[in-house]
Amino acid sequence: MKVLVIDDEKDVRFAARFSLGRVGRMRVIEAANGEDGVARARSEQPDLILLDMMMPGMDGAATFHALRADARTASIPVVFLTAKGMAAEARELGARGVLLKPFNPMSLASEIAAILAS
Amino acid sequence: MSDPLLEELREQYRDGARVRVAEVEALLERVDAETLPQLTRHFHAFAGMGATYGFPRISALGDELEGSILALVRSEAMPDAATVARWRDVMREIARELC
Repeated sequence: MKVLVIDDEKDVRFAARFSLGRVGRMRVIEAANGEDGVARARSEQPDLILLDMMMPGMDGAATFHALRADARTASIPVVFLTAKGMAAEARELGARGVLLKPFNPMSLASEIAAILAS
Repeated sequence: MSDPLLEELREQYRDGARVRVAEVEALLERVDAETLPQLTRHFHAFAGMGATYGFPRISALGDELEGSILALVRSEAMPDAATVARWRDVMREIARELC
C-alpha cells in the first residue's frame, strides 16, 4: 500500500514514515505543502492520502478541495491527520476519516486500514 | 512500543523540540499580530506530536497552549499580560520535559 503524507511539519512526516513504513510496512511518500501534495498525488497515485489541516499557504481544506476537483485525484481516499483543535472543521469537509494527533505510532497503520475497510 | 523504537523516536524529537522552545521564547518577547500566527503553529505542533514521540505531557501542555491561542485568534483578540506569562510558564515546563 502506498500512502502520501502531506504535512508541513517534518516531525509529523518522520513519525508517519516511521510508523507506516517500519511498523505498517507501507510505502510512504511525502509532501511538505499543499501544492506539492496535489502534484505528488497526481503523479504517484497513492492508495491513501494523509493530510494535515493546518499548513501555511494552501491549507488542508484548500488542498482537499483541489484533490477533489481534479479527476486524476478525486477518487483517492483522504484521511485528515490533525490535532484536536482542528478536528471538527476537518470532519465537516467530508473526507474518508479524521485521525487525531498525537497518534500512536504502533497503531497508525491499523487505524488507517480500519478506516479504509469501513 | 518496544523500548528501542520508542527511544529512537524520542531522540529524533528532542533536538528539534528544543529549537522550537527557543523560538517560542523569543516570540513571546514580542506578541503582536505578526507573531501570533507563528505562536499558533508552534503550539499546534507541541500539541500534535509530543505524545507520538513519547512525550505525552508535552502534548497535554501543547493542548493548553493551542486551546488558549485559538480562542484568541477566533475572537480576533490579543493575549493579556497574564496569558503571556502563563505561556512562558508552560514553555518552561515543556523545556523540563525535554531534559
